[in-house]
Amino acid sequence: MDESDLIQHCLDGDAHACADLYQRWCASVYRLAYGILRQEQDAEEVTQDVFVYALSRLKNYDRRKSAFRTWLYTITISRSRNKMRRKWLPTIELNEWSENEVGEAERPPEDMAELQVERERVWAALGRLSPKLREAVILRYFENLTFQEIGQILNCPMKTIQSRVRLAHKELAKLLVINNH
Amino acid sequence: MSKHLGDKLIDYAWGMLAPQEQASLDVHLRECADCRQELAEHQSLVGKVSATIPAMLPTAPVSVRAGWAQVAARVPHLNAHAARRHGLPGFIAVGLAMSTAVVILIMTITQAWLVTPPLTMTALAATNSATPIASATYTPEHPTAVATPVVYLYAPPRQAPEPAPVTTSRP
Repeated sequence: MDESDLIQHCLDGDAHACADLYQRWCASVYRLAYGILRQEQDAEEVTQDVFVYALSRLKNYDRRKSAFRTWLYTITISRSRNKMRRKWLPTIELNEWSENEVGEAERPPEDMAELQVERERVWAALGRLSPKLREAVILRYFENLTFQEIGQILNCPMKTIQSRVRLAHKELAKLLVINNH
Repeated sequence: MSKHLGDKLIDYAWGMLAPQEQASLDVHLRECADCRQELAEHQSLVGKVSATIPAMLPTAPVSVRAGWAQVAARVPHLNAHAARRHGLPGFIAVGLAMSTAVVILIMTITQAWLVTPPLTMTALAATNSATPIASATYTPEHPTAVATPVVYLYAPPRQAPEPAPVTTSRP
C-alpha cells in the first residue's frame, strides 16, 4: 500500500493502517529524536508523543504543502524541543560523555578503533552545538534531507538554515581543533 | 587561511551553492592553491560529520516498535475504534452494567431482610411475648407459641409491660 493510500485509510479510522504507518516511520522518528536529545529514554518517549499527536491530528496534514515525512519530522523537532526545555538537559563535557557512552566492552575491533574514536569526537562536538545549529546539521545528514526540506521542517527560510549550517561548521571546526590539542 | 572566497568555501563544501555560483568558484579554485587547500579542509570536516551522524544514531530498539499499543491507547479515535471492533457497543455495555448493578442491589436488600426482619415484625414479636424473644420455646400444649429461633440484633425498647396473664404452665 503506498503512503497516500495508507494515510487515507488512517483517516477513515482503520486501526491496522495506523499501526502500519507507525511501524513504517517509528524508527526514523526515533533516530531523529535521538539525534536532538541524545538520550534513548527521551527519544523513545518523544517517538510515542509524535505519533499520538500525528494520528490525532492527521486530518490537518495537507499533502499539497509537504511530504508526510516533512510533517512528521516537524512534529518530531517540536516535541524534542519541548522535551529539552522541560528537562533543561545539562551539557555533558566531552570526556564525561566518552566515558559514559563507550565502555571498554563495546570497543570495536582494532582496525575500526581509530574511525570509531574519530566519530565519537565529532559526535561529542555536535553535542556541544546550540540546539538550533545542531538540528540543522542533524537533519542534513540523518537522512540526507535537502536544505529546502530542512527549511520546511524547521519552518525557516532556506537562507536561515544555510546560515545555521555555516555557523555550525565554524563552531565544529573550532571544537575539533581544541580537542586535538 | 585564504581570504579570497571566505564563507563561500563552506557553502561549497556543504553543497549550498547554486550551480552557476559553484561554476564561478571552480574557475577560481583551478588557479588558487590556498583556496583549494582551505576547501579540502572544509570538505574533510563535512565528510566527518556526514559519516558520523548516520553511524552514531542508534537503530530503534525493539521497545520502540512494540510501543504501538501504548500509542494506540492514547489516540482517542483509535480507542473508540478498538472498543467498537473488540468490545460491545456502548449502549449494550451500559445497559448490561446497569442491570448487573440492579441485580446486586436486589440481592443485597433481600439478604439484609432475611437476616434482619423489618422493624414492625420485631416490634410485634416483642409486644406479644413477655419472655425474651430469643428464649421462646416450643411446648406441646401450646404448639402455636413457637417463636422463630432467631436472635434479633435489634429490638425496640420495651415499655414497662403490663402484668401478662400466664398462658403456659407445666403440669
